[in-house]
Parts: sequence; C-alpha cells; structure tokens
Amino acid sequence: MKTMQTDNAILQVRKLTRSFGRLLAVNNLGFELKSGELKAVIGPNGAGKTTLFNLITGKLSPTSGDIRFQGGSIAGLAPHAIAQRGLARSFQLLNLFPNLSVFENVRVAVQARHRLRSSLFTAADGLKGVQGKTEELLERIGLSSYADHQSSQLSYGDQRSLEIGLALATEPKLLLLDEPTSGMSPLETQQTTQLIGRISKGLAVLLIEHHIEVVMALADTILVMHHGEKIAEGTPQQVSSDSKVQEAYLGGL
Amino acid sequence: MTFLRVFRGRQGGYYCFLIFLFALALLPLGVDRLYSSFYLRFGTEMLIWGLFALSVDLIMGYTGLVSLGPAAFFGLGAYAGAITLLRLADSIWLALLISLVLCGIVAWVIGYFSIRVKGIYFAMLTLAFAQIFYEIAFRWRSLTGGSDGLIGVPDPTIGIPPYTLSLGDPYVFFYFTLAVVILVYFLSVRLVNSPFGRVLQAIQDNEERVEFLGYPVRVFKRRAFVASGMIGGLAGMLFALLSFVDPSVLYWFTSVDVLVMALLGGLGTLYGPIIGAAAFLFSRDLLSSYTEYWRLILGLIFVWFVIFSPQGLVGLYRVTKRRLLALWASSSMPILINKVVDDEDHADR
Repeated sequence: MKTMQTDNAILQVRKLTRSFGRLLAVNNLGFELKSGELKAVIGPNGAGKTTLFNLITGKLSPTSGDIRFQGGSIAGLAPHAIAQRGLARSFQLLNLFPNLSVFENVRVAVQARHRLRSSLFTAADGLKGVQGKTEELLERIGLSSYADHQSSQLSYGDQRSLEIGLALATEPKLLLLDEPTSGMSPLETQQTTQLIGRISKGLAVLLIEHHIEVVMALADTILVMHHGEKIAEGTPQQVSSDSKVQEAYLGGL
Repeated sequence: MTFLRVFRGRQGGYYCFLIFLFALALLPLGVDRLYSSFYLRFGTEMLIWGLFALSVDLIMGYTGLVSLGPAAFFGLGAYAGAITLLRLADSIWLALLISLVLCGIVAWVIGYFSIRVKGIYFAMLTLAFAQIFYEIAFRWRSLTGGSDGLIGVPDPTIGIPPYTLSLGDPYVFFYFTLAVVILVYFLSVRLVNSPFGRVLQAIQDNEERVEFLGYPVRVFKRRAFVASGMIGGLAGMLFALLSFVDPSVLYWFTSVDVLVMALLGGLGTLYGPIIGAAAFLFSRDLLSSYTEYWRLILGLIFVWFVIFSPQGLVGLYRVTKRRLLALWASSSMPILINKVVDDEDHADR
C-alpha cells in the first residue's frame, strides 16, 4: 500500500490503533493534515473522535501505529511535551481555571511560551511581552471587558471562548478543537463559528463538531469516522455525497 | 484538591499581620517589667512554628498538595542542625547549610515518589515517609540518642570575632529568629508572585489544563515540595536551638499540629499560618493551665473554624470587617463605605 506523503503535512497519523480491552476505539486510522488546513472530524457518538484527540495530545498512548507532528513522532509522549512542540487543544467540557481571573487564565497560558516561565524570583506581572500578548489575545476572543472577572462568573458561551483562547495563547502550530459549540444556543454557535473562522487563518486546525452547518462553513476537508475507523475523507462536497457516510449517519444513529 | 479552594483567599488582613509582627518585635521590651522571660521564649516558639506553618501553606495553600508528613522536614532539620553543632563544628551557618541541603535532597526524593500519586495516596505516602524518619531517629541511638534525644547541643554564635553574639542569649535568639521569619516570608511572597508561583496556583485550580498548556506539572509540584521542605527544615533547625531535640519532632503529632495551625490561620495567604501558629500556641498555653484536656477544646475550636470560617482567622477577620462596614454603611454615608468595601476587594497583590 502506498502511503500518501506530502511535504507540507504538519500532522501525519499512520495506522493508529487504540484498544480498551476488546473494544477498538480507534482502528487502523490514517490521515494527514496540511499546514493551514482546517479538517473537521465527524461521526456518530462513540465513533472514536475524542479518543483520537486524546491520542494526538498525549492523554492516551496508542496501542499501535504512529503520530508524526512536523516530521517527528509524538506517539506516547507526555501531554506537556507535546504541547511544548506547538500543539494545543481545547476541551469538550469546560476545562478552565475557575478561581483565577480571565486575565490570569490567559496570562498563565501565554507564559507557557516564555523563556522565564518557571523563574522563581522575578515578578510574573513584569514578564516582558506576556502582558501585551495577553491583552491582545483577550481582544481577539472578545473578552477584554471581562479581564478582571473570575472565569467561573462568565456566561457559558464566554467560557467556551476562553477555552479556545487558552489553547490559542500557547501560540500553537496545530490547534485541536473538541466540540467548541457543544451546549450552545444557535446565536452563540454562530458567534463561535465566526471566532473559529477568524483565528484559524494560517493555522492548522483539527475540529470535532456535531453541528453540520458549522462544519460546512469552516472545514476545508472532512474526515468521517465510524466505529473507530475512517469511512470517508475529502472535501465537504465529496463527503456529503458518499454513500457510506449516509449509511453510517442514517443507519448508525 | 477541590476542597482546599474554600480555604483560600487573599485580600485584607495583611496590615493586621504587619501590626502583629511589629508588636512581636517589641516583645523583649516588656520582659521583667510586664511579664517573665518565659514569654520571650514563647514568642520565639511562635515564630518558629509560624515559619513551619508557612512552609505548609506553600504546598497546601498554593499548590494543592496535602502532605501529612511535614514533620519529616522539621525533624530532619532539627536533627541535622543539632548533630552538626555537636559533632562537626560550632557554626550556625554550617548547621543551617547542612539542614537546608539535606532537607532539600530528602524532599526531592520523597517528592519524586509521592507526587506520582494524588490526593489521599499522596497524603498517606508522605505520612509513611515521615514515620520512617521517626523510626530511624528512635532506633539509631549512636547518632540520634534514641528516645533520650540529643543532649548538650552547644549554643552557636553569630558575627565576626571579637564582635560576636551568642544565640544562647534569649534576646539575641529572638531577634535572629524574627529576622529569619521576615526574610523567608518576603522571599515566599516573591515566590508565589513569580512565574513559577503563578503556575503553582494554576495547578491547584486545574492540574490537567496546566499539563496541556505545556508545563511539566510533576516537576513544578516537586520544586514546590522541595522549597516547602527546606523552609520546614529551617524551622526545625531553629527549634533545635530553642528547645530539645528528641524523636517527638518527627512524630505525626507534629505534622497534625502544624496543619491545624495553617488551617486555623488561613491558607493561601502566607501570613495567615504565622498568625495561626501564634493563636494555636497561645490557646494551648492558656487552656493547658486550666485543663489537661486542652487538645479536646482546641479540637472543638478547630472544628468550628473549618465549618464556619474555612478561611481561618484571616477569613474571619475579613468577613467581620465587611459586615461591620456594611452595618455602618446601611445607617450612614452609604456611598463612601461601599467604595471602601469595594477597594478592600480589589486591594492586595
């Protein structure tokens, strides 16, 4: 079998498998993501999408197969080591610092890229460039006016924006977004779609999403998973006319 | 550790702490005029336990690590200091150096094994390590004197000869301890507001997310544990000079006492535990002159605090102040007072 390999692929997943006991949550999965590409990962519940994210970000180790990021293997590395290479994720359920201010949430994330990030006796608030970048990022995700609020006091939609902001603050080369619009009202979904559209310019993004209109609005390519396997991959037009996809969605739900 | 969050809090109370320190600094002036020299020693003891409680706050109030074995470092520091003075050289600086380095190394090793697990498992492992040191102190008679403890530890001097002061002089030792406590307190303030310290606070809030931001969480926790262990050892070393070293400094009662002090004062403030230690020792002194069941009464007070003022004395002070201000505000000058309450909320840091 010929492996597809392009020079500008930022992420290459090859024959990736993860089993939980006898269940194959991800089964022999392979795909590539080019830099600047936004690929949506869709599939019925239990298709293995979040497991895939957990494998890529190091929360889980693969049973077999390989994951290459910018040419180097990251399979089985610790989450912090993978994040340090420039791969960031947002979470399906809110995963913020609830007792810290919105500003400090983002600031500590921005600090992760700073040379003095673990310095003991410098002042955190005086780190060169960190304050400015934090303000800039709050502007981008539209939360500047809430900088002093405790993050748990934000509305649900704003907390989801902050969730994306934290991932973005580490200046990733690849961003993984796990259901960024889950639990949102139609209006919030629309706003978040616009936000993702804005921030994803020039960035490689892998997006798990259930709202099909969000996928259609944002995705360059779509990967469809079912029972841990890839059943289709291609442009939105190609995928939506695929008979296996229609079967999985209509028959599988 | 989610349950620890309620124990935290930052604003207010800080000025009370400065007043407390200032008042304490004047303590020697009243000896033989207002009270006996016992209270000078008592003040020194408060400072030493305050330093020890501060070391607990660094890991418990700022990192979310609940250790049940802080006595390991207190005892190790005490033994290392006393043995250095007895066997090696009569030098406070050498004793301090050996205590700090040894406690740092031991904290790193205990941290290396314990920080792999979380919550109650971490707590039990730290307790087990502390008990190991207790057993060693008990059995290794040739080095530690066993249950008799170490007798005849010489009093070291500070200064350059011929201008030296003996730390055996209670006045000198009091001010020496006060200087150490103030120095460590301000270094700790620096630490918790450093990039490193902010990451610790983020770890306490949501460890998983810190990991996914690219920080090696275990390494950060271990460093905090080492810093805490060294401060605990420093407190133990001072205790060895003040008092008598026997295996009880390593016993789990010592750990429990210091945890109670830290919680009683208010976690996540650094100064709260120092006040908590003073309050604990003062209550013990007061209660034990009436009844031998002072632990029972102190225990009840502690229970009251955990339920009704989880932020300890610092929290109690803040709430009371806010209520009084609110009461006053409702009767007169509402606008002005609201502003004061508001400022109080945003003050500090």
